[in-house]
Amino acid sequence: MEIRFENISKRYRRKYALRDFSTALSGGVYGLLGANGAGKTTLISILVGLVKPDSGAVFVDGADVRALGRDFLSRIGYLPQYPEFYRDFTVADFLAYMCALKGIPAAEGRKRAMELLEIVNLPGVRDKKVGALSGGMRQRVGIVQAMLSDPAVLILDEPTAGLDPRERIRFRNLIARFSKDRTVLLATHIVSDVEFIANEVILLKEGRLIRQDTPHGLERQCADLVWTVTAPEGEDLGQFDKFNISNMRRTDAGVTVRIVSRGRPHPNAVHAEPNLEDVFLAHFGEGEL
Amino acid sequence: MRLMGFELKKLFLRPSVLIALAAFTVFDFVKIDAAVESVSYLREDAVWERVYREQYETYSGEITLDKINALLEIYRPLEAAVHDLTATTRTDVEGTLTGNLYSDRNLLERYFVDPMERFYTARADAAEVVRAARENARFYESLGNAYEARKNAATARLYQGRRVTEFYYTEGYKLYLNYDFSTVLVLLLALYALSQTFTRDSECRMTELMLTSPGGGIPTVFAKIAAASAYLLAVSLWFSAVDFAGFDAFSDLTDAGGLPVYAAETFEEASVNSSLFAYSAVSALSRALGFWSLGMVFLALARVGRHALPPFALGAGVFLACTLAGVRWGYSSHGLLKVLNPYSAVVNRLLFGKTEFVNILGVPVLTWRAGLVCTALHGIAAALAVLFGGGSKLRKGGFR
Repeated sequence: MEIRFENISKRYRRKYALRDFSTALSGGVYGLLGANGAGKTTLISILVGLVKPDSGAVFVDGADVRALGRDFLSRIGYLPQYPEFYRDFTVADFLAYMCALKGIPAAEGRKRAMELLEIVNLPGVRDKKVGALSGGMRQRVGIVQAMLSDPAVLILDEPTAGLDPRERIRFRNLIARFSKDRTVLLATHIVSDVEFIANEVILLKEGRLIRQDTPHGLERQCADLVWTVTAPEGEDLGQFDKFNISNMRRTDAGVTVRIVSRGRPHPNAVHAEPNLEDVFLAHFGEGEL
Repeated sequence: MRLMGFELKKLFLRPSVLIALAAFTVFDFVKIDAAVESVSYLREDAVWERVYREQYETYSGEITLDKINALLEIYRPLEAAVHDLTATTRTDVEGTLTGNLYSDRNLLERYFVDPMERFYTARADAAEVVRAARENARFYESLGNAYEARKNAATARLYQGRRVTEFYYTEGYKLYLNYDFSTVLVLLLALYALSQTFTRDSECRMTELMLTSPGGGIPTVFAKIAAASAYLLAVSLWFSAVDFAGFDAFSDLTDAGGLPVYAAETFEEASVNSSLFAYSAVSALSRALGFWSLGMVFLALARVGRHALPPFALGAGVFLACTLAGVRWGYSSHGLLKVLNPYSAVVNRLLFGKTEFVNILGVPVLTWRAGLVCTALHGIAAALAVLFGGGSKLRKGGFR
């Protein structure tokens, strides 16, 4: 399935949430990476039909999603940002309700829900109230509901926000597992969410697509921008404040500072191998590049 | 159906709703007990109750001349004895029923003589109404006033053959037919549950999931309307049953259930000829229809705002306005204002307790018929507003 965004623009009052956004997705995991307010949720909302674009259109295998409507909805699984679900429903009831909404027959839905709960390692929560689940467990139930109809496209909006590191890793692994034979669009501002599982990363800034490439490709583009310098103990670290510091590590020799900058930030600075966090800083950092 | 089941579960199977339902049921029983206690002398005085039961054995059942004469044989001397208020006030007078002459007279008058006289004269009163109505019909016909002629003819038909042939205790019905406390309880439960219908979905971010699912949009909204309707009917009928059971337990409604509705005090000019039992059922259904109609308005208002409080307050405001209009015009001759107000279907003695007509295109229609039709139309219009109302994000979604 190919999803093509063509010149999507959306404005809230005078501010553009998306501006002439165009790209194409065709299988695999796509990390939609951007700072808060970059337009990620707006883009997803347009894709799933929650928001109408001011201009442009989304096409699925050449057909406008607005014309496909319900047919398109039956092919997607969606996990919105910060879902709470019905706190007084049991997990089984909630998933049965989602099956009813998705038009999945009850018996088939029950079987599918049980299989998915096993996969996300929540076989024992079936009869627990949703309100009694931890944030991580609730997110796992969230991905189960998104997967109930075995969708061709899985859309996840900030799914790891607020999770502890262990849950975040677990969730990331689940996404990798569920990405087989389907398109996954994962919106996040957390670089580590997409660093290892995304086939491609879409960088969104102030509503504009600024880069789209594989993580490695993006890192290559920043090859000359990443530096490390070790400042001996006692040296003023304030001199680096104007730069985009991606990391600071205390070592026996002093403090090793990792900086993203076009120019050499310090006479002793040497180039370092870039990672996706450096890419993020290069595009979204507030310091001098 | 599955979606409706889940919507019903969202409305009903919440601890707060179930607790409120249980607590309100208890409140209702307590209030009914208090209502009976405050009016019925039989509950207040054990001697009266004992004497009443003894006499009731004698006089209940078919009204015969023998029974009337027997009753008057005891009552007339008592009435004469206490007439000038010079009779003894002793409470241990031999040969009396309760020990006191005044007490005997009062008991017999209140619980036997007056009601039996009312029952006995009902036939003559009805015949007089029929005679006058026919005369009026002829008069208006001669003047060419077709509407008034038809109205009087309809009145004559309605009152034709009215009679009460049996004597039973009807004080319980008088209280039951004028009891409104449970209306407030149903209203609170309706407002509480329905005002959260849409806001609850958005509060827990379920609206997005509904909109992005094939069953979202109209099927979901339709399921919400159907579930809300089932909830309103169930709660309203439940409290009607509680009211009936309560008054039957505390004041006995069973004996008089077979009497015609116009045998009940305040219903002498009733616009229907059914039995009190049947009327109790009709009243419960009418009340359920009224609450359904108002509930659909509450549901439409539930789409206003992001939190449940504004719809709750707006819904309460609507009900208050309907109540004030009902109080203001319910007992007046403004028939149209009465039938257009769904409050009349809820407090339906306004429609059934008095024979009144409204002029609809020159045809005299009994207010209860017009009232129930208007209430149903009102509810259907509100339900359609919920389903197709402009700007409903849940209904239209992005793709719909």
